[in-house]
Amino acid sequence: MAMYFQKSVIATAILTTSIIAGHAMGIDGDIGDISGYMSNQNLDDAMRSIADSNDRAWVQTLGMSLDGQPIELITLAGSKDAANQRPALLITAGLDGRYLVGSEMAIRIASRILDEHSEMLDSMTIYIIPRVNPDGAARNLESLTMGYGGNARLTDDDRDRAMGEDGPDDLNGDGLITMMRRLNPPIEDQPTHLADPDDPRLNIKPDAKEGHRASFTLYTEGIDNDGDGQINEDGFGMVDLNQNFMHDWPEYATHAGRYPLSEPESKALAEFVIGHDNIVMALTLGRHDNLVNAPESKKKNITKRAPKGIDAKDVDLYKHAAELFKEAAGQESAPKADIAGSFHAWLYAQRGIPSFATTVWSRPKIEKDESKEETQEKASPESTKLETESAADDSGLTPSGVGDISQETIDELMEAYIAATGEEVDESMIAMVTPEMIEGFAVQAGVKVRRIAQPEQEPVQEKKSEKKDKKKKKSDDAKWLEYFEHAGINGFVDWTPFDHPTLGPVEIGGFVPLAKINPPADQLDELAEKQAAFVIELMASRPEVSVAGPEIKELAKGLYEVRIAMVNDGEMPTSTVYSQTSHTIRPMVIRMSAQVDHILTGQRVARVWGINANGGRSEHHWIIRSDDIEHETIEIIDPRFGNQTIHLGN
Amino acid sequence: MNTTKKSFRSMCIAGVLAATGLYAPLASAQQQVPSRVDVSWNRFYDYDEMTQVIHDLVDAYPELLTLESLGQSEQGREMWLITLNNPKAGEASSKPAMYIDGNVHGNEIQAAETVLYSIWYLTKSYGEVEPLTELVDRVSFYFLPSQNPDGRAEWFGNPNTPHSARTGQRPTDNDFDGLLDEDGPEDLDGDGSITQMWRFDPNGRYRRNEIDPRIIERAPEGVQGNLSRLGSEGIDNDGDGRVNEDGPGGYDMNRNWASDWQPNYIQYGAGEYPFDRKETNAIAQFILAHPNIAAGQSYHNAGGMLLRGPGADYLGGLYPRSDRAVYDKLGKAGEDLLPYYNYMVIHADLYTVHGGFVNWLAEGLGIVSFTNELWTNRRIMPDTSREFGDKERMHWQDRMLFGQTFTDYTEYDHPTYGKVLIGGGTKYSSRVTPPFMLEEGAHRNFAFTMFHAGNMPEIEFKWVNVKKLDSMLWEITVEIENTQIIPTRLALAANKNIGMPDLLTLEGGDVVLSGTLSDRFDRTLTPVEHRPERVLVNTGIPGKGMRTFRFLVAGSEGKEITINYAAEKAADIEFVFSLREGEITP
Repeated sequence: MAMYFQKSVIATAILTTSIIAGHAMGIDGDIGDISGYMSNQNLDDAMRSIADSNDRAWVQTLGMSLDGQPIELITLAGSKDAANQRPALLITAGLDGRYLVGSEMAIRIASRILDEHSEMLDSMTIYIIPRVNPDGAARNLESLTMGYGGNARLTDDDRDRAMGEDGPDDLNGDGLITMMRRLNPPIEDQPTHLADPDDPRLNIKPDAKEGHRASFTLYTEGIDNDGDGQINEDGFGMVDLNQNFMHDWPEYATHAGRYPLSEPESKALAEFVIGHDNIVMALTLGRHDNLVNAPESKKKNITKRAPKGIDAKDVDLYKHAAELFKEAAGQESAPKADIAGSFHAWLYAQRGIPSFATTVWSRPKIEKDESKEETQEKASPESTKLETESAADDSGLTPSGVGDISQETIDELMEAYIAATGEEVDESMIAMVTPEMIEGFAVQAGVKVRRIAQPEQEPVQEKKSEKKDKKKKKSDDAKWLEYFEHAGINGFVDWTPFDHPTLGPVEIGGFVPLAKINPPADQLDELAEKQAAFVIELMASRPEVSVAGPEIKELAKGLYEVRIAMVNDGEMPTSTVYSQTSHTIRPMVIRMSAQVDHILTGQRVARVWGINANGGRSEHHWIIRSDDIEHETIEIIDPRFGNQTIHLGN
Repeated sequence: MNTTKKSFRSMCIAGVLAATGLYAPLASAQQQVPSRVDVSWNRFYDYDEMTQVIHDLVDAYPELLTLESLGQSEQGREMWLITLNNPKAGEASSKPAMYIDGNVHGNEIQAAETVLYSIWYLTKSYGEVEPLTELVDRVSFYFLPSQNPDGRAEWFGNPNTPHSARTGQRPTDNDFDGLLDEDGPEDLDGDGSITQMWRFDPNGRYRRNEIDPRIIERAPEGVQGNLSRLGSEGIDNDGDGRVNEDGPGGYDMNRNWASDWQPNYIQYGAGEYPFDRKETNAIAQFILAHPNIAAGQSYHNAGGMLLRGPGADYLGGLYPRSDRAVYDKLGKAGEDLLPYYNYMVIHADLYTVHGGFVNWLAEGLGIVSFTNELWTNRRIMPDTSREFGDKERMHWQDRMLFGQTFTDYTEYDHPTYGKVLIGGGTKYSSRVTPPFMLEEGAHRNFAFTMFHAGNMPEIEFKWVNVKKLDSMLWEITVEIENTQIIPTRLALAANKNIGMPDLLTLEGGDVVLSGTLSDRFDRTLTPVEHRPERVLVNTGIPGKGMRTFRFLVAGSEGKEITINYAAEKAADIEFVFSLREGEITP
């Protein structure tokens, strides 16, 4: 996943998954505005202010980042003493330095719950870690907005035996790291993109069918600091914390770290999770989503023993959460991002925790244009269909799928080839053949090319071009530009000429880093309302375990039948269904006081790996001998729901 | 790494000869080569005794040995790391180094003796045995006798089986009952080992052998047995109906390493995450800080195997062919030195291992590494045409070991099982080398590691040729040869960007162009795109092979040119000459 902005590596898909993606808010000034987003100090102040004014909230430091910034946790609970013995929701944000919106949500959710739903904290604890990666955030919030996602680790990304020696540079002094188009590059620097004829602000790859020719190469804004001919190939190195966790850790990926949890930030977070067995669900705000789009549930990972995403048996759990999310937040879309090595995937696969993830904000749809597009799109597939059918009828020839060349012609050519060479035509060659090649072979073989006759040349061509216009969906980037204009956001820096010291004439411009991920600050409160509503729904769905019974029947003198059931009346299971077989959690332990040799049926120590939602039960049945039934007990030990002792003597 | 000059040793010896004229001839003429430290190799050393031997050796050979502790184990024991190097021939970090350790499993004790033996033999051989003297001058060694000192101490100090105390000693809830280490074994018959318990059972499948009742065997067809197996000695400490289900520790530190680490439910004993144990973390940090480590060995018991990764079937194709060839050459040599040992690939020939130590060394760090499983019963009876069953085993332990590894069965009144028989092989009865055979096993394994170490990359400038193209333009062709089997960069390391590429630099002239050639006769070079004075050589110099490079340099005749080749896993080499036409002998 080496994602530097080297000339040939730009594509829309990468922008949503790469680390050094530059797209969002600018800095104070006329391009974008990142004010309203909290710096590390702001966030720290906000957390402490909440804790100071609330006796149901307190702040702790989990660890220190590489640059020495504290990684902080705010705990919300009805009682400090009981906080870690109650089922808990973990909300984590800011693993990726670009997703500032997550941290903003986290802090607002904390306030919301404390202000209006603090009674819920009597039955559930909330752990909130608003910013796991303060160093990454700092690189986007301080003097330069880089679009930087990783932590402060220096790595030698370009393997030239020097670290972090060629990072991006703000050549045009606008406080942003955007892109450069190198115009008319020399032969050694083959152009890869051209300006989109429909909107010259956008860069597209040439489409030969449209007659495009690439005319520039793309670079991240900067100069070749180390004189190795590459620009910004070894910025600040960095490790992507969301590739640094154990589930499907991508060992050889450039930003995955030297080993899992190699970074103090990810390690502190993991240690916290491991030390808090009472966590029953988790919500991670960042670049991953499994609420708008259902997570992968069919494939297994490389070991074939663990799911790649989630286990099929947990599909219902995630569907339920997705429904709650839709109702509360109604996020319209979310991009897909690789989850290998990510935090939220680790929580599910190796800690047995129902683990939800959201990108929080997506580009809102612009109502009017959408409907027009739809009807136009609908029109075109039909027209194509009609055409090919009529073609087949009219000419009596069969289409071959190679342009308008008939299958009959191809068959003739194949026969000629076999006659000439004695060999069959290779499958792979057939797959690659183009109408031009056919025409060439035909000339050599003396075969007449018979084409599928087009009923009317002119109208077809017209239809074709209309079709193209109708069919051509707006690219994602185009939709972003449209949205930015509509919403009055400075999300794009117009291409401006610049004389680059080594690249010659370039244009600097492009999307403002982070603008596609973080909404304008004045939308944060409204967005947080929705996220808080979702969190409240999640909390209301939490598993709730109670004991039914004990029911005791005296079968004979000193011989008793004892039954209890652990019942989960919540809308969510006590742990994922997957964890119940993989044993990735600490189970509930049920311990009967009667000695082993007094137990005729049943376990003295039983383990309950999970209880399903909505009245799911775990039943336990014993037949014991006892002289003193009054003093027999059943102990229930559970890190999530606390411990209790059931006295059989009523 | 610092630059070392060639032929240090020959300079040294010349100097000594000149100075004293008293240099003694080769060790082969001597009756024996004594060590300054008397160590017996027909016995084992528990943790404290091992610590003493380490200190004795380090104190006796300060010119070659330095001692550090990498940190403390779970229970606070020091993780002893001994560096063996001749600093007069260069700093340890400037040379390719071999890392040798053992005893990650607390019960696999003879690993530590093998490591100690290696230190003892090398130190006493320095200056006396020529090939080993040359080796010690050229390369350095990092020895860690015990990866798991707590496990070792537990195995020696408490009753155990040949297999137990494998784990580290962090209390762990193995049976998920919320309690830690609450039900371990007990030495009910007080013989110092944990042996087996048998129950009298009229439906039992086992019986005592009619001729030698010390042998408990499966009852033959048609004969009713009267014993059934209960398992290891012990009682149900926590009253849950199970015996010995949660003893001390309960994890496997040889599954705690970072490459292909998998969680507990896929790989038993793996821990919560890689390096989450004090011991593995201390070792990992040391190894990560020493990129000059080019070879690895980790001793285990038992079975007579020389093992290399990959550890999982799905990684079966991971090692490139050229790397496999390196392993194969070393493995084959090992088989020749170690009778009855087989060179094997872990996932294919043994079983699946996720997160193993040598797997991490090889796959995460590009270090050619083996695990040797010390001792095989074949050494008791090499002749496979001869019977070696229960009866013969009894003869061995009676007549060769004088009964020291067997506890005869006694009856015991067990609190939950009633009358049981307890007895069987002691913790020394299998896996552990019979003490009187320890030294030979140690020496043979030592010899294998010396062969491995000697094959760490050794590079030299083989040929430097200068052509004058113009009054101020020169063509310099350089051949660099690696005379040992291990390349300076494993193909896996090159493919996966593990570690740093090698670097060839030229200073003293203005480098206009540089590149690689397929050989010295090649006319056209593959050019280096940028900064031609720095040629990054990601694929390194192949084992027993060479690479050819060319520089086009602008400069005047007589200018002093310095060519330097730096590799993480070889001593850097440098050549200084003045610019003139012709072959220049390095």
